[in-house]
Amino acid sequence: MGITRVGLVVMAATLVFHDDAFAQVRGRGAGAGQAPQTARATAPIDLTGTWVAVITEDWRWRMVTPARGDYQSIPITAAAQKVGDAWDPAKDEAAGEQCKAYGAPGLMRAPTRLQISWLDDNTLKVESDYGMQTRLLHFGTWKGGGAASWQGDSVARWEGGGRGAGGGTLLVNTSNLRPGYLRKNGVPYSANATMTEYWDLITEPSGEQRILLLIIVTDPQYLQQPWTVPVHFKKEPNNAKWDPAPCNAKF
Amino acid sequence: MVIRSVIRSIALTVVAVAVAASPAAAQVDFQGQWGAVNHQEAMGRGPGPDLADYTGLPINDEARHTALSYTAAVLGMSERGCMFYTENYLLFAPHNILIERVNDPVTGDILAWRISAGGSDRAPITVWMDGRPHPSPNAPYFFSGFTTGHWEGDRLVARMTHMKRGIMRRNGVPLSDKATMTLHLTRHADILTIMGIIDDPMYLEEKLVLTGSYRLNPRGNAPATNPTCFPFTELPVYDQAGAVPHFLPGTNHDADTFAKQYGLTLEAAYGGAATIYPEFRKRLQTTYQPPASCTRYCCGGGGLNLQASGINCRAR
Repeated sequence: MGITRVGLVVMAATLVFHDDAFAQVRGRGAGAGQAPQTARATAPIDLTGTWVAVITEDWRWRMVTPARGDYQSIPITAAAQKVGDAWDPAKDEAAGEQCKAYGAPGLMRAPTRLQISWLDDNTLKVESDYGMQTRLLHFGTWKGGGAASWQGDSVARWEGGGRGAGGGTLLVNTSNLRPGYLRKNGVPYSANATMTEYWDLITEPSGEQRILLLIIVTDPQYLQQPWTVPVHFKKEPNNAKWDPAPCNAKF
Repeated sequence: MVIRSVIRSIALTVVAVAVAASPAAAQVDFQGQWGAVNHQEAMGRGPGPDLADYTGLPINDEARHTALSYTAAVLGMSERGCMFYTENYLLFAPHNILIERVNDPVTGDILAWRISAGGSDRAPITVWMDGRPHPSPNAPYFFSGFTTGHWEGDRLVARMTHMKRGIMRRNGVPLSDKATMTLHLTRHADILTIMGIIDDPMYLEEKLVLTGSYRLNPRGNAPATNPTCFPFTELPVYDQAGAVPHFLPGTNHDADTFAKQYGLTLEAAYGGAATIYPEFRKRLQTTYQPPASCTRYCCGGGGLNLQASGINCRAR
């Protein structure tokens, strides 16, 4: 005896209902006639709050400005070395370019705190106290453009989620960057650089939360291969240690 | 008859929904050869860290004093020659790895994931996925520890206990046998990132978090198994009774070499929880004196061929 027509209807209805539930969690959008789901409503993880960079790796290259010509760990090209060898922070300051190490590719490895909040239903705002920078991560159909900037144009979307606790990733692609430094001592990235980020949220059994951020910077001019570095942030209970400081080209 | 068919259909539906809704046995496939991407800590992971460079480690005074008493000559002893190779070495080693899935031969379920030693003297890590409990705290401790895993979304979380005493950094910063380690394995496209959270009540003021990334490499050749560290006598003098190479307090002649080399205070060079947060920079602002230019280990990492790249730079 095969499955009856009634059974098939029950199975189909159940699976449709079930898939719709997944779709909502994964942010696939709304059904016909419904308003589009917002990025905030479909977020599989909550990244809002105050986070602090925990500098347990590359301390000597991230916490302080290393010596001129120190390119260790970065897959630079010969052209990048030429620019880095000529690094002159005083000249940068005089030219009003003291924020060159505070563009998105450098900023996310910096010794900073981040305040993350929703600017609106489809824009996640990431502020840093280090250099007082603001990144806007745009979901949906947002199109960038205009003049290049330190933080560039960032397009975001959610990936995964909905299949168990802790799932879901924020994927961000950034372009239209104003040329800057990957490292405070003048290791350059060009106007053609792009940055891909994967933001994952980790909750420990103690309740402590950490962001594991994988950064991949691609630059045909100054990098021989994509610079691939993970960093991590710890959530803080409040912003009591928030300490805004302007860009500083030297320290 | 119709009622029985309806019941059977509903039952099938429930099963189908349950299969679709529950986490799959393997939500992400980690199998394969993974090439290490050493785009951070290239010196520490490759040639090795400077002596008395404890930057970035939230260690306590006990760890600091133990580290300052360390000399690499101790590795010449057959008794201590393998002390570097506890499983946390995965988090600061430069090597490629192979990850294998171990299936139950009858059910096909995943019994375990196995992370190879990557050609190092570390033992492979077996991450048991079958729900077995951790041994009693009084059970024997091994260099391979004991690890169980579970899925959190698409991330594999592995908790390790029962490690032997080892190191946190290759310049002698100690890890106690009270330490535990949680690994988070995350795959995005062809990049695998392993984040390790180490808790050591003996030597850490707070948890130590380390990360490393790997790129899928179909041409990789990291072996599934290799001989783990085999102790032998390198220098017979070190195996004589009473001859344990060490520095007594205050006698380590390299205690401040690293700090002076890079213009740091000893407070910064010696680590500690306070030094790993941004606010510590304020204590450096008036004291930090960077070298005029880089003089050693200025380039490298990521397997670059510097000469072929046209880069003229001190790689050592």
